[in-house]
Amino acid sequence: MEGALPIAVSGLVAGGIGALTGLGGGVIIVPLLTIVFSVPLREAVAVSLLSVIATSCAAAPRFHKSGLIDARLGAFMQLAACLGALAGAFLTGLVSAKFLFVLFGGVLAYTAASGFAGANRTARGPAGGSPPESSASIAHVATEPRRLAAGLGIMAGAGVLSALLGIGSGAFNVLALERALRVPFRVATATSSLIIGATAATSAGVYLSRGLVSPGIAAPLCLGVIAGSTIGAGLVERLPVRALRLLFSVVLAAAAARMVLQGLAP
Amino acid sequence: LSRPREPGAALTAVRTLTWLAVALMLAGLATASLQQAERLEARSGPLLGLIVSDAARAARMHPDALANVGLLVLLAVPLVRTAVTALAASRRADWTMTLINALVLLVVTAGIFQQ
Repeated sequence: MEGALPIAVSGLVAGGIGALTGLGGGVIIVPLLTIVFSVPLREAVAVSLLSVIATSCAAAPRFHKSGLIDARLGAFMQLAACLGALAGAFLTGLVSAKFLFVLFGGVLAYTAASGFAGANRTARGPAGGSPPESSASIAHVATEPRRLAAGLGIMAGAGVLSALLGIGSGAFNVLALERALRVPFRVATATSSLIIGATAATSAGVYLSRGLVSPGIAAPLCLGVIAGSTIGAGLVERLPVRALRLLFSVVLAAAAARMVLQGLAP
Repeated sequence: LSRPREPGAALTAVRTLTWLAVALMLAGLATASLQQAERLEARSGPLLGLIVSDAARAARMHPDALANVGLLVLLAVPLVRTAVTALAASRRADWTMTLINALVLLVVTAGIFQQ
């Protein structure tokens, strides 16, 4: 377990930034492990999935306290995301690492773009103009089958991406909940934190059984992520989150370019 | 509209299991450090290393084993959380919520045991 400290510190930073910006730690961890620590992509994905579960665990008390998680809607959407993750886990053995690098680059670019949009939303107000305390309960959503189908479809896609890339797919979950189902932004973010844990657990088992999870990397990383997420969540009200989100989006855009280039390299 | 909340028992389960996973992973890392010190002591022979090596021998466990158990506990958190939520829903006779959570539980378990 040599080199545990730098990995734990990386987890701390990734967990902290992920919690502060609301974009999750997976999108930072996989590029960090592959680019900085030269960990093979599939191993980085496997380890990152466990860190996503750690992020979900660390976020649980905070969101439970705030009462922002819609448990019923979350459970329903979770089912689609987990089915997607199950399919994604099956696909992991069929796609090449090069394809995964390019796909990851695309997802990072989207996350960076949603980070820019989120920063603007933060500037306008926490709920982006939508009523912060209302909730699109599943009974209400079910009256709009087209929106419900779109939401479930995006969720399933997010599950596939989570399993293939080792990310929480928080940005896509929020897209499904907020845009398709018209759930308020803060409720969507909180409910997404519930969903990502189960989604990651669905596919993490596959990587674990294939021997791709190295405890020497995963344990310090998860410890760092749990500590970082907890600290980050406590600092949300004190730090300039909008500036952080913008800065983080720039870093993500650069990482996206790097991942795509790595995937396209001969 | 009132928002359907997660049962408090689910949060308690998440908290307890997360702390257990953290303790196991920390113990795994500590044991690994001790064994590393033991190997160092075998090469150089300082007194402090000797004391440390005794503690490592007392652990009598491969360092990865503890960390692995910690990771497995972490992996189990979403399963337990969903199971507790399903149980709480069945107690309230909320059968839709019970069924959805039971299905989630089934899919996650299928994923974990998928080879």
